[in-house]
Amino acid sequence: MNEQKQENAKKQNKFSAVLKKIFVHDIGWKLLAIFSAAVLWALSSGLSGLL
Amino acid sequence: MEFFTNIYDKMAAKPWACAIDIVLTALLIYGMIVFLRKNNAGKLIAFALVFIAAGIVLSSEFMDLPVVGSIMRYGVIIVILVIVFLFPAETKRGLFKLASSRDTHEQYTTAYDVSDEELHAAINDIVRAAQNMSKKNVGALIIISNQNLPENIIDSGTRLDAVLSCALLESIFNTKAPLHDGAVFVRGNRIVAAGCFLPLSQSNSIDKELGTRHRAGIGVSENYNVLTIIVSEETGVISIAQHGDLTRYFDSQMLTDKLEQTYGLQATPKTKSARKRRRKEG
Repeated sequence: MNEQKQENAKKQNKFSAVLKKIFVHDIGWKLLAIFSAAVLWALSSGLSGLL
Repeated sequence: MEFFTNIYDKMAAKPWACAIDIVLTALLIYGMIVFLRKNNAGKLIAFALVFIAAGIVLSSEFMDLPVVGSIMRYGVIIVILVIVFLFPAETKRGLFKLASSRDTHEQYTTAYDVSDEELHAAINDIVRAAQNMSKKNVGALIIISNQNLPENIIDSGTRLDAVLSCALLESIFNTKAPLHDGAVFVRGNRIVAAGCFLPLSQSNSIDKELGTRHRAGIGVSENYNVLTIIVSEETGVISIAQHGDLTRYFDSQMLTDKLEQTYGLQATPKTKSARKRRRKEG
């Protein structure tokens, strides 16, 4: 029972570590990547129909 | 106006395709940012993004530039070929890393993957080891980094990936030990590698009394975002190099404060002298 609790706690820690990695670690650079992608997409889409 | 109408039409026609396009592009851009930062080329990020934007504009039908447009359209392939031909060793290493499951695990853990207590214990061990080596005039060069380290420097030494302890640090820098020449890289509470060779600083402002060990410590701190602890073999003085600047005569409390700041365990220094020093540096 105790071992299972420890196992569950370990899994939860790993899960929260992964979440932290995705949403906290390097968040500034990730937001820059999303913003840049949006700008590049808008440039590409906007220019594609123009002649 | 037609420019914005095109954007709106595209979003209205296929919103999910647009969202997926943006997300995948963001992933590629983030991958590029991580790669450039890892290889100490963070300053190229802005240039790369501007180059990509210029490529999209110049290769568009609107601009109607056949030669430049073609070059830009195939720009990615040209850049990849240039990288592969100019950096074959790094490319090989990168591909091996992708194939290795252990490296993938490292990539997806948090910065240290250890508790604050373990980090405090590691800091105590580093400070005790530095003090003991200082008393015995044993030279030491310890690099503390909270980011991924330049692979070429790590590969120049011997990978240990051992839990840090005072005894292990002192053993490594024992003059009879094979790994005592070179630097020890520490990340979190682990010794990543020992016996690593570092780039020397070419600065003329370094005191001539300081030897190669100090130059190496300053040199690596100039090029990478690391904290270097240097114990002088001649005088036993403990110094810290960061961002290319050397500060000497650290005692155990000052060293502890500095390490706690570096590890993000403490916002402001505890001791008066450390606060004064921080105000001077700031």
